[in-house]
Amino acid sequence: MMSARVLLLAILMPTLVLFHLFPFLPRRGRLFGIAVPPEVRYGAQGAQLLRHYQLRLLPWTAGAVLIGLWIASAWLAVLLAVLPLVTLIAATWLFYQGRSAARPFGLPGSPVREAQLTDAGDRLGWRLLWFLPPAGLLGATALYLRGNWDRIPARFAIHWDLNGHPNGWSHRSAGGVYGPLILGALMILFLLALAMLTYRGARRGTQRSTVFVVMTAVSYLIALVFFMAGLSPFWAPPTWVVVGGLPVFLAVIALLIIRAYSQPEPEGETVERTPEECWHAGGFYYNPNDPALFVEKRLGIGFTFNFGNRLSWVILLSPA
Amino acid sequence: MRQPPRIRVDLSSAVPAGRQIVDAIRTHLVEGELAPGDALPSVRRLAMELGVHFNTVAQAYRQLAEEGWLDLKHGRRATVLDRGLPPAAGPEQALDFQRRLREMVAELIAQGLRPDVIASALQQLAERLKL
Repeated sequence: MMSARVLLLAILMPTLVLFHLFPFLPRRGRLFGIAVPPEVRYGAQGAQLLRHYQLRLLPWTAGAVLIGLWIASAWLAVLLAVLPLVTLIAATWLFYQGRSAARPFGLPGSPVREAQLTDAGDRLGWRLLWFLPPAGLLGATALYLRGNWDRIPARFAIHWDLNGHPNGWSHRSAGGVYGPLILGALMILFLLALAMLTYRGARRGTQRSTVFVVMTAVSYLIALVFFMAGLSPFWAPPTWVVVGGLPVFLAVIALLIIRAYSQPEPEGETVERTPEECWHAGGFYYNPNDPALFVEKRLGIGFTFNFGNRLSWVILLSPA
Repeated sequence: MRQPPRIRVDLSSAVPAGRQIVDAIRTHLVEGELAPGDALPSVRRLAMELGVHFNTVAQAYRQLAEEGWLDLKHGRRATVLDRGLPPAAGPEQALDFQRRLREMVAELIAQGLRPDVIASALQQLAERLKL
């Protein structure tokens, strides 16, 4: 039952660490996702609210770790189903209590708006070319497979366990050989569309560029994964590439995000342009008077839809 | 590198947002901060940045185009035109200008702005117009 214990801790720990970090993740100047004056955010009141939240969350973290480490193996299966859910509900409830305590300090949305009178940086143009190498890699792999069709074994491994033993198989057919490449190409196309939409539909600022760069980087990861999957009839990637590659990639993404957040916002971009009353349940923005399709998240990193913009519903419902 | 000029709109003002946009862009055009050939943001982009309806910005751009400041070719960004000097204004316009200026100064003093602050601002403006 060791693996169940590891799985339980692997689910609980990142969740709780994330909740401990949550008040610090959103843009600077915010407290529990609420725009507050700097003297509150960085003053005694802000520190007290954060300390109160952390102290109330700490017993849950400590309790979850202790239970995960020392609970009898017979109980692990039950705990695996119940404990993560209970912990998630408790941590969310504590976070929203912190948010309620911070709400009285919230700044009213400013009626004054500023914008630069230039189109510089608004055109995607050459930035879209960054999506060509990952798409090209998959295309080149498809051509290579077509040229070496006769060398492809009738049955070949496409999935391996952590010890490197194959546990999934495919056959020499158009679907079996080109399927992974087509899936990868579709995912890259989806990312490209999403990157273009967020760039055009969100206001200017450091986040807009960062999100575009992150999506571009993810398309490279997808291309590499499906490139390796496509070549599986001839070559199995070493385990260290699979196990070590993802943490390296995630570290690069984390660095990009930290770098973006450490940069000061351009002049005039710090004004709060999403009124507090338009945010519902902390994370859902509905403002029919705001022409933006995407707005910066109050909690977490990146953008969320403006559900008051009809196009957001068209995009959300289009896959259905 | 030349910093692009900024536009500022107060959505709580009694002055309509479209009028504020026209006035602000015209000021940058007259003062030379926007030069011929400069491209303005698209209607959609400026509306999004300012939080106003697309039609408000489109109408403001159209008015500036009618005044001869902007080129609004279909499918292209609004670009600043070399407008040249308009024909000299008559004495009625000069009198109208003086009347409007006096009214505006009186309104600002009534709102509590100190006369020396207004005088200083007018002096600065006069200096800039001499250039």
